[in-house]
Amino acid sequence: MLLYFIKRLLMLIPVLFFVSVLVFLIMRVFSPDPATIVLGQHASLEKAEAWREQMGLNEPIITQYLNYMNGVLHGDFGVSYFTNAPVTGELLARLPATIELAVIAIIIASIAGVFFGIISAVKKNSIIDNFTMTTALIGVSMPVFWLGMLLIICFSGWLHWVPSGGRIDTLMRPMGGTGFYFYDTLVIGDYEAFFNALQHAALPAITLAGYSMAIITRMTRSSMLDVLHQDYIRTARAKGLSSWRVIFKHAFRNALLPIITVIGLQFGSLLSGAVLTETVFAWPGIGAYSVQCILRSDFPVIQGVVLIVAFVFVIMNLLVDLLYAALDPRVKYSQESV
Amino acid sequence: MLLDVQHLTTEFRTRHGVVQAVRDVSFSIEKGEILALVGESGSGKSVTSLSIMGLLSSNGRISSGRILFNGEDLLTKSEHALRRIRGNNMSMIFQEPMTSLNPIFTVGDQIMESIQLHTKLTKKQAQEKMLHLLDLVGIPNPSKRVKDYPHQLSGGMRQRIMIAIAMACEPQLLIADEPTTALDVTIQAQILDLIYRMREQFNISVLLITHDLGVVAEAADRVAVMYCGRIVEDGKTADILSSPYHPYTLGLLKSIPRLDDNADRLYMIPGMVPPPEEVPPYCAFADRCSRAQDACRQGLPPFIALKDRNVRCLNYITEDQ
Repeated sequence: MLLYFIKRLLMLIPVLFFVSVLVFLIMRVFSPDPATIVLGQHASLEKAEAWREQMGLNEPIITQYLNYMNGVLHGDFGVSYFTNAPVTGELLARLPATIELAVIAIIIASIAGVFFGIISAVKKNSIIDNFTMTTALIGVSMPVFWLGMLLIICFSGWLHWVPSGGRIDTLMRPMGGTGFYFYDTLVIGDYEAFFNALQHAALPAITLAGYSMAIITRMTRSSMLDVLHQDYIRTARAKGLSSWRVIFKHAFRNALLPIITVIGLQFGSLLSGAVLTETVFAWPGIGAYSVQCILRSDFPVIQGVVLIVAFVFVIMNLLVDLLYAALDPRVKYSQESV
Repeated sequence: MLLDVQHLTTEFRTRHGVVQAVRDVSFSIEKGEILALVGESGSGKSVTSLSIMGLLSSNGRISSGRILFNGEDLLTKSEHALRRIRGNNMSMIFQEPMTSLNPIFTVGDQIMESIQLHTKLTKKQAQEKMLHLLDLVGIPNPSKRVKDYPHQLSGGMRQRIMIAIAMACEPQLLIADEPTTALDVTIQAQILDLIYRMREQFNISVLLITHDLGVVAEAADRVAVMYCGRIVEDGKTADILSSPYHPYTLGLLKSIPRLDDNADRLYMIPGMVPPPEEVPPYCAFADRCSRAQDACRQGLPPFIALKDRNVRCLNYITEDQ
């Protein structure tokens, strides 16, 4: 098991290497000259040349790449063209917001998705099943920004239950700390601020969870339906077990593998920044930030974001694979024999 | 009499409308007796067994008949009461040992589950019982094997585990649905022998479902032949195999390839089994039968009680033929 884990960790290196090369090349070769964007179209040629020289853009591309990767390996993603602030700091400041939102969203999506998926599968073709599947279809098809705006109009505009944007009221913002407001407010015992942060997170989290929940519901249903037709389910019923135990102990645990995969991938994409949701709710995460940076060709930031997203995805995949081995004895043994 | 099935009819809702898979089937099993239910695929044998266990899929239902187990009608019992009988007084093993065990639990867990569900044994007692059971069904080195997962065992071993699960609460009736079909010939004999030994040791009754007359000859006391959801002939195994009265039974027996037969082609019954939704209202075998007369297509032949058997045929074969 440990050997397998180490082997999988080592396999991350080539993946991340290729991602970094690809992003670097795409940015340098296919994107317009950042000098004209940063300095304006009417900047003099000398000024632009001086800026390129200063930013190291006149070096051979291989040297540029090596310089960049040398920095990355030391935790330095370069400097933003626009703010001149270190990219590492900019990203670290925004990551907690994105992670916090993603975690809440994936918890909502997983619990609700699995619950409705199981009910749908067990009560196949019933009214509940049809209702759930129709809702899931709507959930998958509905544009996220539109769902977000509907929720804002309803719960913020009409009902005034929750604020329409931001992470927390400015005055309540915890100073210092980790940047994870839920954690920070609890640590200092400021429950009012915690509740305030929760209120702010409610709508974006539900919006973000909607799509994932629909996907998880559908996967849970189809996986459960598949398992419920297996011979060993008949064996379990022939033992005289209650249908509750047949469903949860014998069926659900077998149905979990594809569900875990979907949850892992969904979590990966939530973590990499929910661009639309963060924009609609003015949520200061990396999703909204990376869009700004793409629009103004801020290479170092985009590279940093893409590298981090790639890293998050491969780590999520690794975690899912490890969970596989923990859940299904057949996986564990076949891997040890490799 | 342990099990008495009376006029059982089971139907399924399908795309072709409601289809009867089992039609007016009656048979009984005495204590300690092995009854074989024989027939081709689709003849209704498995549905009969699932009806008795109360494990029909959600689109199936028993539309008429009675299933008396120890004199009590199972069809009038609640699901809760049935669960206490299932796996306890009455248990079942299936055709596919490769897929009938849950892949993510150890075989030990799966046997323990049955024991602990129906008995009040402590965990330690249950474990001892499990090891004893595994020893009984011929699993070598039981204390080590209980920690194995199903995929680590061979088909024959898994079927032994299934039998151990079925025997966990010393049932009165064991329903074995094609228990040897998926296994190698040598393993088949071992599994049959094991079922036979269980019967001897615990005096259980066995409903053995098979399409293999070789298995019947080896194991069963009595045999009932099914065709298109109906029993067409039943009686003592020796009588029926040595002199079948129903043309279908004869056809089945003639279809067994024999080493001493020099014929160029193997015998087969002409025609095909009609699909359940197209079973005619007269003798279902008439259209494939060389002895069929006009009367055979007039209506359903009655179940004729003869000296040593029952047969559902108007023009049955007599011994002198």
